Formats: sequence, C-alpha cells, structure tokens
Amino acid sequence: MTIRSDIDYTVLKIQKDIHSKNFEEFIESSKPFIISTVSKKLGRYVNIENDDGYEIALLAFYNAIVKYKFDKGTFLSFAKVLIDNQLINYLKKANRDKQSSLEDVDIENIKDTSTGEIELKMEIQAFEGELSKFGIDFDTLVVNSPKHYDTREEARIIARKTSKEEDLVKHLFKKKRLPVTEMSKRFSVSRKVIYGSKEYIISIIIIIIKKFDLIKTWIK
Amino acid sequence: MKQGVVMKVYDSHAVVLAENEYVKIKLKTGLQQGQEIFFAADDIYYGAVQRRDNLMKIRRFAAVAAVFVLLVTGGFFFAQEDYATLVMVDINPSVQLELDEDEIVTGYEALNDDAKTLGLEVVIGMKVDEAVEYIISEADAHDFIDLEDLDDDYVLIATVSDDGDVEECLREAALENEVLGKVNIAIAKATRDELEEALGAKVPLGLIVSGKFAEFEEDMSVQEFFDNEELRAEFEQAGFVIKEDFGHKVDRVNAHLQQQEMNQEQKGELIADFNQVKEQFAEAKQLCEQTKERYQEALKSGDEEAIQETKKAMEEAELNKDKLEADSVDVDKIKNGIRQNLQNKLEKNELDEIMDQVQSNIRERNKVQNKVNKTDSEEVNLLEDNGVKPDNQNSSDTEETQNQNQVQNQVNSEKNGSGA
Repeated sequence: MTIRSDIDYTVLKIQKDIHSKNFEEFIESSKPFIISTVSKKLGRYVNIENDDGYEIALLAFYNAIVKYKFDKGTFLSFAKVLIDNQLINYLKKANRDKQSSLEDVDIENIKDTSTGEIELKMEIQAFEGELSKFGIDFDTLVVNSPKHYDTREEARIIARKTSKEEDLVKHLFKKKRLPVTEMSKRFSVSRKVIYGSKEYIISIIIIIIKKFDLIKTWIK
Repeated sequence: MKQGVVMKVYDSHAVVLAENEYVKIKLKTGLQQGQEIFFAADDIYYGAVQRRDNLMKIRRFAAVAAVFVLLVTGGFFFAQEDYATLVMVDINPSVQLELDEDEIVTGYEALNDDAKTLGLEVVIGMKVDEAVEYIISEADAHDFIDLEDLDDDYVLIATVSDDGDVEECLREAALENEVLGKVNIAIAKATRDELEEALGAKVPLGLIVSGKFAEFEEDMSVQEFFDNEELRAEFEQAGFVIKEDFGHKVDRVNAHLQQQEMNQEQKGELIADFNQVKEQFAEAKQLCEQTKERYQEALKSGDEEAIQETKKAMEEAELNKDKLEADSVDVDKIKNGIRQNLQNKLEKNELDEIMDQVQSNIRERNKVQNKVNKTDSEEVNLLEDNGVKPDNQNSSDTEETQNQNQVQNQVNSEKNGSGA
C-alpha cells in the first residue's frame, strides 16, 4: 500500500491549473530534489548554470507532473524514474556522438569553456597564489574559519573596514600578518576576535584589495 | 541545497567557497577549479578535520602517555618532545609556550591563576614574537601591568633548548613592534635542570638563571626583582635585556611630568628637552636601520670594499645610538623623582633640585656635542674644565673624537640627503 504524501495531492491540484502560482512554487521547492537526483545518477555535481543534465531532468519533471496518476505510486518515486530514464538516454546519445565525431569533444561539457569560467578559474589560481604568501591554503581556511554565522559576519565586517584603511593594508602585505593592535583600536573589537578569525579575515581582504571581483560575488 | 564555487580539488576532497563560508565537499567526477555548483548537506566531507585544539589534545595525550611509560621503565626526561623549544614568559602572569623549529607556537600552558584569565587559545599557530606581544597586551588589558605608568615594565623570558633563534626573533621584533617596544624584555637561557627547579619551587624560570635564587623571596614579583639594581646586574650577566623603546620612555615620563604641579616654565623646558632627546634618538635609530640595509646590500653584491665601508658605517651608527641612549639616565632620574614624589618620599625641594640638575646636564651635553664637532683638541680639554664627566666612551680620546665627527657628519649628510 502506498503512503500518500502531501506532494501527491499537490501535483493533482496543479494538473488542473498548470499556469497557477502553485505550479511555479512547486517547481521551485522541488529544485533540491531534482538536483540531487541528477547528481546521483550522473555521479557529478550539478552546475549552477548551463547544466544540460539538469535541463533534461527538469523537462522530465514537467512531464512527470503532467502524466502523474495515483496508480503510479508516489509522485517523487514516479518522477525519479522518468528523470533517470531521460538521463540515461541523454548519456547514450552523448556517447554515440562522441564516438562518431572526428574530434574528441565532450559534448556534455561543451558549454563549460566559456570565457567567464576561464576568467574565474584564473582568478582563483591567482587567489591561491596570494594566500600562499601568507602561509594559508584552502584547507586551512576550512579548518580555521569561524563556525558560527554571526562570527563570520563580524569577521567580514572587520575585513571590509580594514581594506579601506591604506596603512593597515600596507602593513598586512608587508609583514604578512594583520596589524591587530591597530585594528582592535580603530574598529573597537577585541584582539581575540580578530585572532580567532585571522585567516578568514586575511582571505577576504585579499579578495577585495586584489580585485578578485568574480570571487567577490561569493562574499556577501 | 547550497551553492558554491570550487576553490581547489585535492585527492580526497575539494574546497568550495559557498555563501561566505569555506567548505570541504566529497569528490565527484569532473570536478574542476572554478566550477560553480550546487551541493547538499550530505556532500560535505568530514575526513581528517583537525581544528587547532584537537591537534593539541592529541599531542597532550601522547605526551602524558609517554611520560607514564618512562616513569615505569625508570628515568624521567622529556621523552615525547613534540616541541623544539620551550619558552616561559613571566610578567606576572606566567605562561609557558611550546615552539616548533620555526618558532611557531604549537602549545601553551597557563602556569598561574592570573594567566588562566587570559584568552590564550589563540596563540597556537602564532610566531613567538606575535604570541609574546599578545600576552603583553592581554596582561595590560587585564590590568596586570600598566604600560604607561611610571614603573618600568619587565617581561621575563626564559628559553629551554633554544639555539638562539627565539632571541633573534624577539630582538628584531622589538625594534619595530609598538607593543614590544613598551616593555623591557629580559631574556635568559635555561637548562632542563633549572626548568625542573623552577617548576618545583614555583618561581619564574628566568630568575633562577640569574643564580640569585637563594636571595629570591617567594613573593617577589618580576618587577621588584628588576627594580633591585644588584639583582638586575646579576641577571644581565646570565642573560640580556632588550630595553624599552627610548621614545616610549620619554613619552611616558613627559606625560607624568605634565601632571606635576611645578614651575610651568621649568616644566615646559624639561618636556621640550626630553622631546629633543627623543627626536635625536629617533634619527639615530633611523640611521642605524639605513646603514644596516646598506650593509646587507653590500653583502649581497660581494664587493669587499663596499662591505667594509658599510660595516664600519653601521657600527658607528650603533655607537652613536647607544651614546644617545645614555641620556636616558636623566630621563630615569626625573622618572624616579616623580615616582618618589608621588609616594611622598621626597622633601619639597628635592624634586626641584633633581630637575635643575637634569636640565643643566642636558645643557652641558648639548654644549659638548657642539664643541666636539670642532677637531681642535683644546676644545676637548674644555670638557674637563667644565667638570663634565666624559661618558663611558671616554671622549677625551682624540681618536674617539674623530669617530664622533664622522658620525656627526654622516648624520648631517643623511639629513641633507633626505632633504629633511
């Protein structure tokens, strides 16, 4: 016996009015499910933009909404089957095209080599280089960054304020360490707070000062 | 579902920057640096995550276990030495730091109750001079010392099994670091035996080293120890003291001088005199740094002649700076005078007398400085006629006079060169 979830009823309602607001909301809230299904089936992470796998899955999901009936089981398990099937078809086709084409082109990833992505990759490599001058690598940043949202936000604020002060920035880049005493005085924060997030703070200052604007979009 | 951009792909995981946070995620096919992806909570990688404190706990545990084994098998020594150097910092508070070969702090211990009130966890990963600076600032913030009062502050540092790098690191840092420049740093090397003795007697290690342990009373503080001239001299035989930045000392004393109720004119003159001394010292210090830089450049170039020249200039600049620092004797006189006055230990006139004496000393020295510029040896005799005692360097020696000339000329040409 199938246990009916709310979702199953929601889908039936949507079928009656595809253009309703409910439809958009439902797609939006189903996004994590769709992404997770794609990721598991293809064995890779889903890109935020221009992901063929995701787009195919999305189409299959719409199809599932249209075709769903209670006797198919739960909606999600039904949708999963449709998505998986479409992804398999897509992969087969991509492999066929790959083998038959003269060039060794990875059709699935052909859109990934846009200039935007190349720029971002170069920025990140430059960022890595800058960080290494301070003895910081990405693993260090994960381990030593503040775990709490509030602490991180405070650290970001400190980083932004510091990057506006020319003398502090000079000190940082010359001595390869934060001018903690001065920062503590000027921004009225305790030294302990600064020291506790120092690698994180330094990383943000580097992003701002070195104008890694593409990376900066990831720091709010 | 979170979004992030891939910063780096490692063998076992990848790091993404996701919404203001650096996160480790599991590897999946095709993952590339620069990729902007979705990931979920179950994609997060929890592998060998070692936060600073976890690492320390593991080491502590290993150290304790090793000691236990040794006690059982006989013989007690620091077997599990996961540190290269041990550093004891005493202000009061008393802190023990463990350093690795690169002078980075890998562990710490608060040795007394006062130290436990400081937030010490953050010193792990710091270089030793940074850590010492932090401890001093915290001690100041918690009112264990006051960096701006009339008492000279001493930070006692004892190192065990240091090959000189810690001393070197602190010396250099003290020249530039504002906080380190506000105190006198007394450094001594200690042996393992002395360390055990100190820990057993609960006495600052550095004081043991001075060999005056017998005279040390248990409650004597580091300050009191160094206030005692004899004890301090003894210490300077076993170790050395990096003095407080002269400029800072002058500022301290001037600030308190300002508050003294006394003849306004005299007060103004004294403060101005001290400021002038401070400026001269700052110039001399700058000259020292410049000659040092030139010397290092010469070393790089390998030019023998240049090396000799710049080395000489550097040494002369150092001598000049040290000579100026001798002026601090007068600053000390005033400082102690005010101190004692505050404690009502002086007669009414005594402080005035001290001030008068100091002023005339400074005037004489300025006169001497001007006269010394002339190469006439008769002028040198004038020194003695005025009853001014030559300072340590015995300036009645004409060779010395010529050296001083050279330095003075250099100071002047520096001034001109820099367009000051």
